[in-house]
Amino acid sequence: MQHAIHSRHVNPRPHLPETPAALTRDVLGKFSRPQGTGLLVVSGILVLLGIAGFAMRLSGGFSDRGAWGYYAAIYVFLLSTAAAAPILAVATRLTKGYWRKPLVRMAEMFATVGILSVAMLIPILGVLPPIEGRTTFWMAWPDHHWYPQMSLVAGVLGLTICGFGLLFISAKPDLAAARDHVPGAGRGFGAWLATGWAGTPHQWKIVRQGVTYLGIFYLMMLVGVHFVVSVEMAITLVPGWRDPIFPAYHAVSSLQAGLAMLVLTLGILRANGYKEYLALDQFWNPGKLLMSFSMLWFYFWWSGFIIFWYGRTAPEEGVMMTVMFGPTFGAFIVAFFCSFAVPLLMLMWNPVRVSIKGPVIASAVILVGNLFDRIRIYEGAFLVTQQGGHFVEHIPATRMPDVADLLVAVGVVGGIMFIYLIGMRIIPLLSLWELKEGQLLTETRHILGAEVVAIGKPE
Amino acid sequence: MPKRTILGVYQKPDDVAETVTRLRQAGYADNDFDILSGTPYPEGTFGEKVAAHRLYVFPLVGAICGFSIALLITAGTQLSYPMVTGGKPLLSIPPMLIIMYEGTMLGAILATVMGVIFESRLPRFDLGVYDTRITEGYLGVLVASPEEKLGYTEQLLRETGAEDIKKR
Repeated sequence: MQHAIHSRHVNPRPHLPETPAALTRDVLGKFSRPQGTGLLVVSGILVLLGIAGFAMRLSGGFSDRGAWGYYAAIYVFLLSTAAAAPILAVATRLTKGYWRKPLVRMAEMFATVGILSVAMLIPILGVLPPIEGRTTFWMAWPDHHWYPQMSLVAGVLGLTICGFGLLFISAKPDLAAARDHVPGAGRGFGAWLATGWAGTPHQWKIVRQGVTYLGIFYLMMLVGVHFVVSVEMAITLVPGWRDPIFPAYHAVSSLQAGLAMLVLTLGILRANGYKEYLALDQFWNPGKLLMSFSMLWFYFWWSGFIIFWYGRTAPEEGVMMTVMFGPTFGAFIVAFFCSFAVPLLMLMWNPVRVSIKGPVIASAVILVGNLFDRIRIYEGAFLVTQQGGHFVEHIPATRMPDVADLLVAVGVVGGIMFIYLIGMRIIPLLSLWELKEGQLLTETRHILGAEVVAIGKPE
Repeated sequence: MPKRTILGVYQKPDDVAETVTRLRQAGYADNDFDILSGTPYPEGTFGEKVAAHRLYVFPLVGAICGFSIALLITAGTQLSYPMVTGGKPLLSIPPMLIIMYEGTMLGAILATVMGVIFESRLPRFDLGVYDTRITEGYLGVLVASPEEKLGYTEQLLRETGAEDIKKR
């Protein structure tokens, strides 16, 4: 492995300024002079296009559920990527992964995209039917009519609030640094949020504990949201679909896509001013996780699929035709190859995995795979208009995306970029306090001829 | 007895540790001084009292409140419309669990955010005696000193290596 690293002449670890003062100046310099103004304008235009597409879709009303299938798929793609990206920060904090330090804030910043998740959920609430006419575990009592919508709202809202709380608390010490050292307007609204932060041991302890608690809650909430979304927006719309593995598959594929979204973002940031902070370690380690998730994708998909394949009852055939081999067959094939086969075949090779470009390219492929996976599931499920029954009696025909669908897709991608770019103008994109903690607790030592890094883990 | 606040600004962690020892020897209680830093040093680095907190109470109480509200919504509405379907129990537990799980999480999340703000004593609009170099790597020792001991405390801070002294 050492050979693989050295043969590429890539330093595995970030090359940070040596003193806390220099580090502070560098991080806050990047914060006060953010790059990507052109991209902000472009993403703003994409958002406007998305709004136009949404207006076109809205003009058709809510009654034609099939017309909203691609919208639902894009929405769940958003939940599966941007909303899942902060998980890497949470998981590596809990496991005390040292290599996380330069990238935690970049991951947490995706929590801001929760605004878009909440906004885009609103029309879906109107499109989804109440419990009448669909197979559901909600009992048909008068007070239960809108429970599916209620559980969706509670889940997405809870996830968004948790994400913002996590970002706010984790950024507080860095906002205080911005308050102290960034002159004038450059310190921004964020510095106001740090009012009163002095850095006492008590405040540090509270920040650490708060970040840990909210991180755990975020993970719990994300899994809950994927359970509710996969059940209420897919399984219960397709008569005869009974699959306890599917919500778990949905959550695992979301974690894979969230990680891919983050690695792709790291690749873009490395090429745009963050090269010293994002070295091989920040790509190689997520690369290992991406490879594992690619295998898990197949495992969870196969575990559900094999029951349907050999069961071959009418409900099972109906489900397979609806979300795999029927109207969204093309999307399923793309999803299978891009979520599993291609990334696995790429990342299993050391020269690809132990590199910077390899995991970034694999991430882009996985994101394409996840988009098509969500299309095959949600477009397929939304096309089924049958009310009640024990199986899908008529397999719907393929519906290609129209202009409104394409504009909404472009708008969502633009929206993610736009909100992220605004976020990095309010909160520093590097977790300064964690980088300084890393400086404090890390030492390079020599053991005979080898150079090793000694990392202190006080807890 | 009126107290004034005095801040010593240090560059070296060792000097801060010595200051803490000397302050204790001079009769200051643990609550009379605090360390300010821009980096989270491991607990007890300077020999300071390990800070106790009650943050864990907030998510616990929030979770209980969220769970109770969710239980009230789900069970309360079903009991308000007591319609027995197919001889099944009036309260359908599995669907209720989903709302109760989400309610519990929502309560815990909101309470944790409020807990962090409360436990950090924020927002505090007057920062008091402070030095912006602290977020750049310097360390501060903040002492609440009786008026008559102010001169002695300042002398102590200088002797232990304070590069700068600020008072209020």
